Amino acid sequence: MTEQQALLSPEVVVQDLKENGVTHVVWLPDSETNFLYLLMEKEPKLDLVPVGREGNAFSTAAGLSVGGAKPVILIQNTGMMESGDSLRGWAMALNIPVVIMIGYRGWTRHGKTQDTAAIYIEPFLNAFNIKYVLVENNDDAPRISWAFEEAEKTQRPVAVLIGDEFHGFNR
Amino acid sequence: MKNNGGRIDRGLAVRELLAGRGDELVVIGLGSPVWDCTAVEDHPLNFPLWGAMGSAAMIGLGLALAQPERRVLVITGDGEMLMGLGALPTIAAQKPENLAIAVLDNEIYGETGGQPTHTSFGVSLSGMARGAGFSDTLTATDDEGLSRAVQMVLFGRGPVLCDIKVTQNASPLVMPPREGVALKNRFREALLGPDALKE
Repeated sequence: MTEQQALLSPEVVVQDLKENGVTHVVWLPDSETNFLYLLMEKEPKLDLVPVGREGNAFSTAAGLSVGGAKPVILIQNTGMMESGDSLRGWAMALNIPVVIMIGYRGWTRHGKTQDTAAIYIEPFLNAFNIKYVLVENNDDAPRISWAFEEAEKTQRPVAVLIGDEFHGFNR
Repeated sequence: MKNNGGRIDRGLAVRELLAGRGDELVVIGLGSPVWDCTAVEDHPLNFPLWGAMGSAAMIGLGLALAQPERRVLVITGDGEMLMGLGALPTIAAQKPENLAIAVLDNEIYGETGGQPTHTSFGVSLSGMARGAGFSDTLTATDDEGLSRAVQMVLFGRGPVLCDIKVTQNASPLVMPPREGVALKNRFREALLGPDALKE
């Protein structure tokens, strides 16, 4: 495979978060989002709230939202599935308009994936009736703003699946 | 009587915790603490939780970060707190000076038949909060401890956690509205004003 450029640049993601008025990023780090973390940490308009387990991200985000802030949740698909009852009890039952950015571990355009984190994430979101979009590269970035608009319009959580198959946010 | 064999009357404990609340934001973990707090007053700045168990402290953290100028008090039970212990290091890492947690620790799951919780076997919630890095913690078992707990939650530099050993009697079933969104909207309106409800 020839050298490839990162398809979705973290600068684009951070800019989208700022343009959509995000105040807090509630997240649990994973290997794909480290470079995004470095950018976010330098961004004075974004406060980072790392959690120890993904389910806690939903209650923290609900508290932030109820208190007048605008959080975004940034977790991996594995953690999304761990968060089922928190998603139900906080984001959905309280009508919290939060965008969940989900690292799509195992995403591939090239045949079946063997990664169960990838196999089950979209059925999981569909089971909860969560609207979602796939973002693979910078050209898809407007879908992030759509997700924020949809969350506000519906007062429900909306997911953005980050499917940068080759590099994630690393470079 | 405040002291009942090393336990404080739970109704009295809640009344004293809330007596000087002023404009404090009060998050209430689901179950008996909701009935206890509502029996004192169904205050619009109460946020009783009907959602997922084990998250009251994290809701409090989110509120404390969103409203750093307001004091936030989480009142919850030992079973609820035990279900969300991962909250303690996350809160300690954020160091919200305006956040206090008061655990009404009766050492049983009162809503499900009185089965013992881990605290009945000596597990110390205040010890875990202290180990996580909370600014101050205590376990209250008598009048003096309750008085100190009240002072801590009202004036202490957070995050603080008070584990208040309370009696195991059932709480009076005084319930707030059961609809979570309505409670959220009531709370937001009281906190942020009527514009908060424009969606």
